[in-house]
Amino acid sequence: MLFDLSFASEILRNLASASAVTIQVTLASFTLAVFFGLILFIQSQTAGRATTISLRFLSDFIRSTPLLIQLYAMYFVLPEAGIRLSPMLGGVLVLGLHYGCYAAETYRAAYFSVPEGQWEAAYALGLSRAKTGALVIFPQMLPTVVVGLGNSLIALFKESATLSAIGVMELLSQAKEIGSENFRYTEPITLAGVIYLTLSLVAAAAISAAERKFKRHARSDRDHSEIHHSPNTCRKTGNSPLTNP
Amino acid sequence: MSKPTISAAIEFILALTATHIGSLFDGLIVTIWVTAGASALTITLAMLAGIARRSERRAVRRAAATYVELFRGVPVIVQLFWLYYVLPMFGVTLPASAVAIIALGLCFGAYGAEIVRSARDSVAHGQVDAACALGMKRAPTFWLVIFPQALPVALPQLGNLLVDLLKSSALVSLVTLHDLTFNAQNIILETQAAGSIFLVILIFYYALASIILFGIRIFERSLNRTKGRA
Repeated sequence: MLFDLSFASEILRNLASASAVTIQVTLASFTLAVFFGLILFIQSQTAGRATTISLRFLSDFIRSTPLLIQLYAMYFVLPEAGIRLSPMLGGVLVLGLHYGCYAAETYRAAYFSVPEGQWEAAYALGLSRAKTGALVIFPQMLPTVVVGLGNSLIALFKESATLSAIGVMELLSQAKEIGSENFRYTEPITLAGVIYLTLSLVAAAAISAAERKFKRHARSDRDHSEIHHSPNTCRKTGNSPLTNP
Repeated sequence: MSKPTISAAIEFILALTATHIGSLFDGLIVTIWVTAGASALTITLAMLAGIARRSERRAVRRAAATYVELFRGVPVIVQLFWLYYVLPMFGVTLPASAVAIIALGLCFGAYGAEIVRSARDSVAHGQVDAACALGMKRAPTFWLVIFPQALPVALPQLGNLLVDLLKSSALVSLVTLHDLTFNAQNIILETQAAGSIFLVILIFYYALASIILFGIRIFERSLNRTKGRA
């Protein structure tokens, strides 16, 4: 039998509890990424030139090298320096740092999408720098930030599967373990794929709902900023904001 | 105080790299081949699926949308394992290199399709109407009117996509392909110098990513130049 349904339902319980680990890892590293990205962004806006350049280089370097090797490096190199972390904690840290660099880019893009005139107008009205940032600039950054971070969340969720390579018992490791114990990979790996697909589609739907809500708000404020994309030959089909892994 | 230790560390890393240059180079070649092969498949699938999503036929649009949602929703490492562990159960056993290229190409092709679709949508509809008014058929309208205007929009995103593909190519070491990551691990088993070797291959990957982005930027610039002349 190519796909054994009774075996599949038997292992579903184990896979479901492993998905809980995947979700925990995702949420923990996402929280870390959101705050680390914010610190990185603020540092690179306010620090001196030398710091800014080195931070940008570091962020570029982290974003253009494989997560797998960053995980290995953490796993093998930190013990050499006398630091011992569990694979889970180390994995969350590395994922958080990796996606923190992406989050910093999201903040940057959102920050520069707010026109300079908004600062000038707020200053002209006598608002302080801090108040302008918090009351005028930040609310306008929010839609871009929410969409960007939402996409990062989905990407992070999927890339958390890489943690199986350093022995974190998340969804994919569990599926592989079931496979090697029973010499049957078809059901566990297929089911793991289905669980990943379901969860990321649900998350994508939630994010596009949030995006629509923000767009509706934005439209009531300034309807001239809406760009209408017209399809070339037929009506538009729906799209969801899944981005790069 | 710290200067001699830094230069000693650099000397150590350089010596280590020199001793194992053969193995590192072999791995680098495999990484480049996998990335290049998967990139070619990615671009082909992205063009096909991206255009199919704007087809006049509902079934074609549905099929393309299903492909995109399915392959973007599942982690690339799961797709890789599926082709490597599960496909043989159905009687199809592919060599690891084919598994690597097909898995990466299928997954990133789905991401690429969205880039193609949005770049195509960015071309104003009046362009199509104008081509229609001039009596152009559908294929020339696409290749002579839409494509040249959509390409500059898609290129920067394509660059980022290919860098992501390069990064994900490290995962093929998990299906026993002897790429840069795999060979680095072997060297580490032999020398125990994990920190230095990982630093060296991170620099290799960074260099490859920079080359991809640089190539895309050159291509972009040459496009802009021809546009300026026209």
